[in-house]
Amino acid sequence: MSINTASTSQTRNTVYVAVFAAMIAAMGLLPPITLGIIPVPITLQTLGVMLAGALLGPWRGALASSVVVILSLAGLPLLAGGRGGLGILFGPTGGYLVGWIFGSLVIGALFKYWVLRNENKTVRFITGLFSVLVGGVAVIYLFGVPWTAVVTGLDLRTSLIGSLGFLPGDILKAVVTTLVALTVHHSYRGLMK
Amino acid sequence: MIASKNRSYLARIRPGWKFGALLVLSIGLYLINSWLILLSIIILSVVLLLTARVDFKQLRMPLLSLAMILSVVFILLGLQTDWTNAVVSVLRLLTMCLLAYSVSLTTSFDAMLELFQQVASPLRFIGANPAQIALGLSMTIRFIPELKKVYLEVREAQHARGLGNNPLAVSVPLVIRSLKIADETAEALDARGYDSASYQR
Amino acid sequence: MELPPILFENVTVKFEDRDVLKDVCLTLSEQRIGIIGANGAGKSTLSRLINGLVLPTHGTVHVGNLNTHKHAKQIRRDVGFVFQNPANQIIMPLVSEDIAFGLKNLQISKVERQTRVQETLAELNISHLSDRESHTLSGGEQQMVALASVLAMQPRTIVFDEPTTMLDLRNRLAFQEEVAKLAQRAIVVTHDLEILEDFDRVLVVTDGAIAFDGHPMEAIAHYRQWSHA
Repeated sequence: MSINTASTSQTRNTVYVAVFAAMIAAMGLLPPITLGIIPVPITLQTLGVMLAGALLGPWRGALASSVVVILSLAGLPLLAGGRGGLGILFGPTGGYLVGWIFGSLVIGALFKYWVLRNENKTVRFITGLFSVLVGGVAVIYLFGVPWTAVVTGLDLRTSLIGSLGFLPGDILKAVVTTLVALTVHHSYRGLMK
Repeated sequence: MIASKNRSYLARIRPGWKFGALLVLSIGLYLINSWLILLSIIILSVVLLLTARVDFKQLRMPLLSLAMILSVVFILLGLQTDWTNAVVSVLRLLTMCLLAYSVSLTTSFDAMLELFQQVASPLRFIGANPAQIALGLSMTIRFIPELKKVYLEVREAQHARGLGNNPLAVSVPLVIRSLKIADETAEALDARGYDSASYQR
Repeated sequence: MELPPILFENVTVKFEDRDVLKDVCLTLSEQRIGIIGANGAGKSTLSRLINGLVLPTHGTVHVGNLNTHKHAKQIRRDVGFVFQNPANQIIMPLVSEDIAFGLKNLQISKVERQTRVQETLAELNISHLSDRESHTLSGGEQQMVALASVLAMQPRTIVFDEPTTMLDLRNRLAFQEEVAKLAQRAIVVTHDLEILEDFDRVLVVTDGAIAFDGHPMEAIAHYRQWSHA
């Protein structure tokens, strides 16, 4: 209940970040989901990262993603497949982790200052999807792909082409993120003040 | 958890030094272009790992996926540039990962967290409260198994309706329940007199 | 133990144009006070007014000399709160860490902290849970840990909002036993009418007002009658 609660927003923020980070971690801990349309099973983990931005806003969302990254690098097997440790950062997929943090930041900013300012459902969906694709896909790849190139020695073009295999799954996740975020915002007014 | 139990000489070195050395070495590796030197460094790294009595079982899976990636990289690089270059790049990547894992597997989780907190302490100047950050991290760890349970329940419930593999059907209840957990926990935290402004470790 | 009286003066709580509680005037000073009523009647809100988790839209709530509008944090050091959902009150990965949490803000040494934690666990006969991970506890165990965390702060009053609703019968009885033994004042919102028999006073809340205030057996009879109507 939140009737006239004197509940400090600081407490709420800390708890929201922690619980969402835990949710992102939990999403990577269970077996991936197999869909008919895509040959590769998808984990919901990146979806969680994108949702963190879309539901908590730029700062809390980025913090939630940061927590997951920090705990994983510190050794907890939180990344999809039960992976963790510093080796990830120094390996080919390290950039994507950093990209998560900025991805949540960008999605959060776009949702807070643009998407949610519209009341029309269709407009919200289109602007929302665009925001998630920009922040969730483009930004994350922006960090992931060059990092892969630097670390493996492959040129940018090859690294990019290599990552395109994940694109269909990520686009699907972007659509799901948008739908979930808008559904939740509809029932939870004032989630992002 | 990775890393907790190692007791070798590597475990006794402060994490800050290990991490710093890792960074310096990684950058240094890019300046080396001789496959011979890189190969010797790899052999040294493996010796390092062996003498540190590292738990090799934990390395099995990561090394396996790394091996797959390395094979692909090797072939692509060899075809695009030349094979010497391919060998050098693969050896470099392998070395970096081995060194990184040697740090991971010989540093306890708590020590790693302490290192991150030390690295992040300049953030104090933009208003970040280190005690609050520590609380946030502990709370996350507390709730991970809990939310894993919620995720499982939601998936099972949706499975019963034939929607177990529908990301939308699984995500919405998971998020709503997570938010409810967060709201109730925030209330409990407030009731315990938590005051983020004056909270000290 | 000297107990500060809890004073409700013309308290009204509005939420989205609805009067959740209307013009409530109460002085609570008894050792064992029960609050019963239908769901949505305002019981939970009433309980949350005591430690300032909810603030009145009109009127004031005082615990002794402290006003919930201005001194909520101080009040919360003296008034503990146990919630309905056992799991969402535990915030640290280990039981002993959770109980020690509130103590960190007090100026006591680490050793003293540890002692208090172990003493509190022993009081509730749950010392064996000290090193357990929070998520491995059953609902009943979690609720006991939540109570322990509250007790460690040594409040003089503890408010309970339906503490046993989510527990099975065995855990419900065990929890009730512990509450009965408490030296602190206990104000319990509950659907469990049996535990109220030894209470000093029971309030029946109906549609945002106190419909009955008095002896437990009469209160229960009144509530039963109202429920059948």
